[in-house]
Amino acid sequence: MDDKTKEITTEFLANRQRLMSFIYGLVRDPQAAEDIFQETWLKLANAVQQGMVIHQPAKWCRKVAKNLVLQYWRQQRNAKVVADSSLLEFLEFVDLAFEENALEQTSDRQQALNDCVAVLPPKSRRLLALKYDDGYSLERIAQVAEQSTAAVIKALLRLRQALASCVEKKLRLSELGL
Amino acid sequence: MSRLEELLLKWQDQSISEDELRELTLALKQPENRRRLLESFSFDANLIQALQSLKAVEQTAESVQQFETLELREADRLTPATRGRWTEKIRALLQPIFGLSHR
Repeated sequence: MDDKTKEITTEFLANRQRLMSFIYGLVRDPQAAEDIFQETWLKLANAVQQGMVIHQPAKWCRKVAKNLVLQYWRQQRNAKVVADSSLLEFLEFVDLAFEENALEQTSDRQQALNDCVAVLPPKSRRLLALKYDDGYSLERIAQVAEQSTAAVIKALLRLRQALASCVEKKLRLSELGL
Repeated sequence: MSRLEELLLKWQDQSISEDELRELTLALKQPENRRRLLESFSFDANLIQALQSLKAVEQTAESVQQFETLELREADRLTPATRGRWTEKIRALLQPIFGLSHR
């Protein structure tokens, strides 16, 4: 690996969390998101090796990832949805959201969330694992938990709020050295 | 619980209807809502990472526990109680010889 590729790879990995958020948020499948992330890096490395000058690697990668997401949606035989103008408009707004907003992404934040998840009651952790690790739909979780889908939505949103508050509290305490 | 959060959760769940997607897209015309979408997407990615880390830690802890169990099982053969029983048996077997030699 030459110096230029090393340099761009370091920058690429430093922005991993932001790009992964973008990709996962759109494809909503952890494995597919990882595949698209790796494909994006391959395209970036190839472009650099071919002598292409990339002034804004983060923006360039997001553009590549956006095309790969569209390709993924088509492969999912979801062409009807892909052709839907609302979906394409949604994709543009997501891109804009990432373009115009800085995102505070630190390892401290991730660690704080890890700690907050670790101390959740088993029932809450199970709910999160079903949704975000096992990839169960809200409807399927509702069946498993013998609850209504609306109740599952409410529980998940409350849990997310509780975790977000827990993370902010931990980060504030950390800033104070406590 | 806001309507935007509910729509984002339905988007993540892939259970959003066409009308709801149009509603979400319309909401994203507001910069504040786009910022919240970014936070929501980021939170989801971090949450997956957190759950995977926790799972890895639990699996490692389980492996360590199994290894420790095996070690303890092996170590158990050398516990004083077991060793004592074997010592007693050997002593009993050798008793006549020791008895003769001491005479």
